[in-house]
Amino acid sequence: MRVVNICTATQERSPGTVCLKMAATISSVQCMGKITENEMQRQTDVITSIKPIALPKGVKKLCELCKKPAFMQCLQCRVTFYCGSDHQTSDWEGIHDQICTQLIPLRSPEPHFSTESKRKEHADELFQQKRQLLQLTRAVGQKLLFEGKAEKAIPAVLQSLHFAIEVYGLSSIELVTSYLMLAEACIGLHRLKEAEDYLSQAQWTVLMVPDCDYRIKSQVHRQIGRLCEVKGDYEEALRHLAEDVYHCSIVTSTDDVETSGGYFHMGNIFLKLGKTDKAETLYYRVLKIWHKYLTGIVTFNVEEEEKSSSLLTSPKMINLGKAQEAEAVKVLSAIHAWYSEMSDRHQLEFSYSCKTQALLNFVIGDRSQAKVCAERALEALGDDEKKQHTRRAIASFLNLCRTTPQPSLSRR
Amino acid sequence: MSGLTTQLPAIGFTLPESSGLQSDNTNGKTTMEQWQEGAGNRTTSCTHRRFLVGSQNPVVQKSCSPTLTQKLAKKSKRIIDNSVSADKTAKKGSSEGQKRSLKKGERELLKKNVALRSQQPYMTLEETMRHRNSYFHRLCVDTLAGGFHETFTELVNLARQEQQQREQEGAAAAAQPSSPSRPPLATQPEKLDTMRSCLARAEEADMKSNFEEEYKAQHELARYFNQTGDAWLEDHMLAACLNTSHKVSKCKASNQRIAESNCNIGVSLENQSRWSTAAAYFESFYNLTACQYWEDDNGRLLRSIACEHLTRIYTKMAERVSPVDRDNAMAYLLKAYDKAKEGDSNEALGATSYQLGLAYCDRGDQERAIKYLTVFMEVCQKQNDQIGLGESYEAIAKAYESQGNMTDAKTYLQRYLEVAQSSGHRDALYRASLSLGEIYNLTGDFAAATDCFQRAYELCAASSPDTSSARLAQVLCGVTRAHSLLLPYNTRVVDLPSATPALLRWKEQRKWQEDVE
Repeated sequence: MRVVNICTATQERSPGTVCLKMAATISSVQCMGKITENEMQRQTDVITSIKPIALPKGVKKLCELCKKPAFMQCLQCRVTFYCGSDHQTSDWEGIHDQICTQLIPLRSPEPHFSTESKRKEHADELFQQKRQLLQLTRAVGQKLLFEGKAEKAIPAVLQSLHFAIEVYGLSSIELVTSYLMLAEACIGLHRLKEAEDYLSQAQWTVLMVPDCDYRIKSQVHRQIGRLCEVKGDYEEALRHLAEDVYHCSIVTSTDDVETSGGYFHMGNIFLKLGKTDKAETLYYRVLKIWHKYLTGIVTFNVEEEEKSSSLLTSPKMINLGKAQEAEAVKVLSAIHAWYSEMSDRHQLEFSYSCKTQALLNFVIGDRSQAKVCAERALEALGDDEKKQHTRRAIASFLNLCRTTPQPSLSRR
Repeated sequence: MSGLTTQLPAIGFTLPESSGLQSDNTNGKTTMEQWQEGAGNRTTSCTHRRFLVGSQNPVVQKSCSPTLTQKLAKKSKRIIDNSVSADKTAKKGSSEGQKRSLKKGERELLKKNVALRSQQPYMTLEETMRHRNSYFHRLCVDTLAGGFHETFTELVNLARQEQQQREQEGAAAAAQPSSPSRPPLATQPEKLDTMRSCLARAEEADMKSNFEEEYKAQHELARYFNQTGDAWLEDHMLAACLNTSHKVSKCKASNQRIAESNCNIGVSLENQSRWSTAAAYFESFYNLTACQYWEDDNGRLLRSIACEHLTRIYTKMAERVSPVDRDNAMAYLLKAYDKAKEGDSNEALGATSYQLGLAYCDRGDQERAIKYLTVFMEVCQKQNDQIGLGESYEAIAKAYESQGNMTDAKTYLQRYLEVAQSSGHRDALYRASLSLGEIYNLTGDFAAATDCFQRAYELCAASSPDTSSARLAQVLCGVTRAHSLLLPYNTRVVDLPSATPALLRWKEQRKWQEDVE
């Protein structure tokens, strides 16, 4: 009872120090899966309990994730505290495992230096370390998000937000990336209110920096659009996605791969609104953009390989980045699924979608799957006289799949 | 920095009053302290926070906070940034010290401002965007949100293309600052609106596979650009029309639209003086209309329109090359004549045959010249075109004259004179008289020639006696009179041996002696 009292008192006294939002986010993070006996063993190795009431006056130990009073301590670094084993497990699996020891110098009290230059040196060192940690946590969070593990990604992304604030300050544009990732995770977990808050922060920051990078602008609008879509406010969602497409196309082009994401989401919304024709043209456009892009990569890679095999040098291949690959797989498979449903009506488009899938698999390095897709594309095309040209293109691609050795292109 | 939180609702979302995200515990500052710092900002909401925070009296804080937070939440949905007095208060407050509570007067002023603001209209997210972004931006987003992504692409690409053109021209224009500059496409709302509506209509029709409608929308836009004088945009739309027309022809099994769009492109190219390409488009238009009885909106056969266009363009091309390359000019003229003969326009036929006649005349091929000129004459007779008839007579007469056939030349010139007299055209009459006079002069009929020149002189002298044409007629008249005296001179002076001494005698005495004869 007394402990509880202290907790509330701590909270009341310092409203500013508590990240209420984060607390809300994390308090609903549930313990992931069942904790096996092994895990239990590990936990007892790693953590130890602390008694807040026994701490010296003025020292408050707060949970790493929810900023509530902590009752546990990480034994490895001894600078991280948790309110319970749930949050400890989440944090450990999410990010703490990878940054545990690196946190020690950041959180332990500053050692005494006799000269100004030494102190400065130390501060610089810490700053650099924070930057590295920012990059690391962001990368980990992004990876987990791409893998669809939104829940697991949250601790990492939160950490990245902490580091971003420490490195760049509160109103920096650098924070937007973290906000967006958090929002994405929250949308994935259907926690719309929190997603909305993060996106508001992101949007406000972008508004305050009018000449920031177009990617950030378009990403912010895209996430807001997705949020509105989930909330069912389709009008608003369309407006935001339109903004996204606009910002992208002004800087790159209207038929760039970056722009295509906006088109895809718009297509989804039109589908939900029942405007199938519009959705279809948008999907087809996305397909066309990706098809062109992937064809370019495949041709380049094949040429490069031939060149390198004749010159005996290692080929300089283009690969999709991780983010792009994840997007491509997501978008193209969604469109493919839609066309498969409608394959009786849109034979040509279905075949086109199959071919794009094949190209994607080829670029990713999955030759056998590429072959299967290409064969399906050929099959769906039927034997119309007019489509001879397309048939030939697919056939030559199929040939390429069969002839080129599997490992050479899939070297990633 | 701390001004962010409550301003956020202005951009569409509501955020709880104390968002933990804002706090930065590493600084060791509480949100309150941050708020106080933020009071220096020029944003009005900060002023309220200062008021809230600065009053150390807990009672005041308690009583004020609910109403104020309410007001804040309300207010933040509006865009308000025009209250200068509130700003002043904020500045004053921050300069005098952070922890001072506001005086009564200041508080009232603040309340007044809040009341003023509550009278301001609410603005939706869309309205704020309208204020914030350019017209082009708004239009693009509206278009996209309506699902017209092709229209959007077209708009963006055209604007970009124009921008690039400008940049290229920029260097050239810098050298000539006097050249008038057109405003960029993105800053012309009227044009953008028209483009958007037409293109969206076309896209909608395309989605429904109603290509006829799509063609019409695109064509309308092309015509609009024709009026505004944006040639490159017109070309772009006409090319789009041509593309669509191929789709139309697949559906309707009729090439009429293709033919029409070919014709339109030809006309546009012709206006830009790109004649050879225009001729190529007209040719394909002509070929497409072969054996077809399509009619345009006015009920005219497309075939004859094609002939007319081709005739015109070939004539123009002939005119252009004629000073350099006469053979080519002749070839173009012949082509023009062929097309004119096929077409239904008598005027075009007359004009080309006349030009062809003249060209042959120049080359010395009088036979053919007379043939074509006769065609012209017939056309003029059919059309009852007195001036043209006169011209044809004149040209034929000239051809005959250079052939050496004076009698025929004379007849045609007489006809010319008659026509000129009946039409009362002064200039034609003058020219006819002169030409006829010359012919008479050449054939030795000096009296008739004198008559003609006399008439010509009188014609001029009546209106302007001292012009070159009048003087010419005068001189010619004199010459022919002199010529008419040649015969008496020969018979009476040259042939008679006594005539010369008699003349000399007369010259000395200056008295006419009857007996000399």
